Amino acid sequence: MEESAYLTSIAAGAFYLVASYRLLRLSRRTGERPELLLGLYFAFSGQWYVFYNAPYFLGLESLPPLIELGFEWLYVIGVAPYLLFIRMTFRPTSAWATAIVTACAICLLVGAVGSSLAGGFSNAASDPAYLIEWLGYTVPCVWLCGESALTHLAARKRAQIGLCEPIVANRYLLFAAFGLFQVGACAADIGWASGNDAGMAASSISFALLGVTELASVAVLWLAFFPPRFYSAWIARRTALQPDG
Amino acid sequence: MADVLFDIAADKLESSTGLDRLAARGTLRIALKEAGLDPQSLSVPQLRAVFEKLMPRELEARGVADAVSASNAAIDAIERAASETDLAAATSPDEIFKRLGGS
Repeated sequence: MEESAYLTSIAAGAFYLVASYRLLRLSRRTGERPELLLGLYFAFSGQWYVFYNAPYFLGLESLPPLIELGFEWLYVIGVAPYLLFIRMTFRPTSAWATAIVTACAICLLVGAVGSSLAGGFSNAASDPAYLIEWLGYTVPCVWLCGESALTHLAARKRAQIGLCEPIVANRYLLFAAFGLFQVGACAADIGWASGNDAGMAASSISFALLGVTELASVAVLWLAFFPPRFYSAWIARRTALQPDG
Repeated sequence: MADVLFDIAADKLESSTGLDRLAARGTLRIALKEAGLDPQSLSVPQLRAVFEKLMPRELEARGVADAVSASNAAIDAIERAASETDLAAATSPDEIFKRLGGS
């Protein structure tokens, strides 16, 4: 179970790096910031997934604390463009969205500084720095899920009058699902950290939840970023058959 | 920026139809809601679709004479005003999500 979860995380990280490459190329072509921000997020998180999990999967010693800390900082930095992407896409002029971005950034910074002062990446739920950092990367996933789900509902209406392509309306749903699966991965994370507190090995449930949510995240992002023809055709056909979207 | 576009659209609807300010804003809000659009994240192409496909019916229901012409006049005025204020380039989530999938 443990090896499977590590392998799934590494595979997810590799997929995020591929998605990042595609998004960054897209942003070079369009000169637009949303794809740049999302591409940066996947680049930072992809490297963390691969390099943090690889030693465990290979059965090696875990990374030296300083290197692990360096990867943690890269991950934390990478959440900033994720937050900016959500704000820029869904709430570009909202003051409360700016407040969420600021609050999450402060949580991430405080958590990473706390880990740095303690001399290494903390993975224990009793450590306030860990909990604060956990909030900093979990809230954006909840936010993305909520905004995408709400926009999907409105986009279905727009699709009925030809104002939104059915595949775009569906893409909001896929992003909502991605946000939800990532919240599940964050739940697995805190389950793992709670186990560390009790001096127990991570439970099978945490590993299973992590593996399933990461696989599911990759599946929905694949459909969102690289929609196969059969899928696009199926969405178009389904929309045509169901006038209410 | 998009809420500015809503204000411009309501103003132009008011001047093109003879509806009072409150009625023009209310009518616009109803048409946007029917289209699944958020008044705070509008783009000019979205407004054009609403004014072409939904607004004539809404105006007719409110007793506006020649609703189609009034609706066309309003959207033309909105597009002119938006281009003067650089609002025509505002992006909507739909445009962003369309690019993300390469569609």
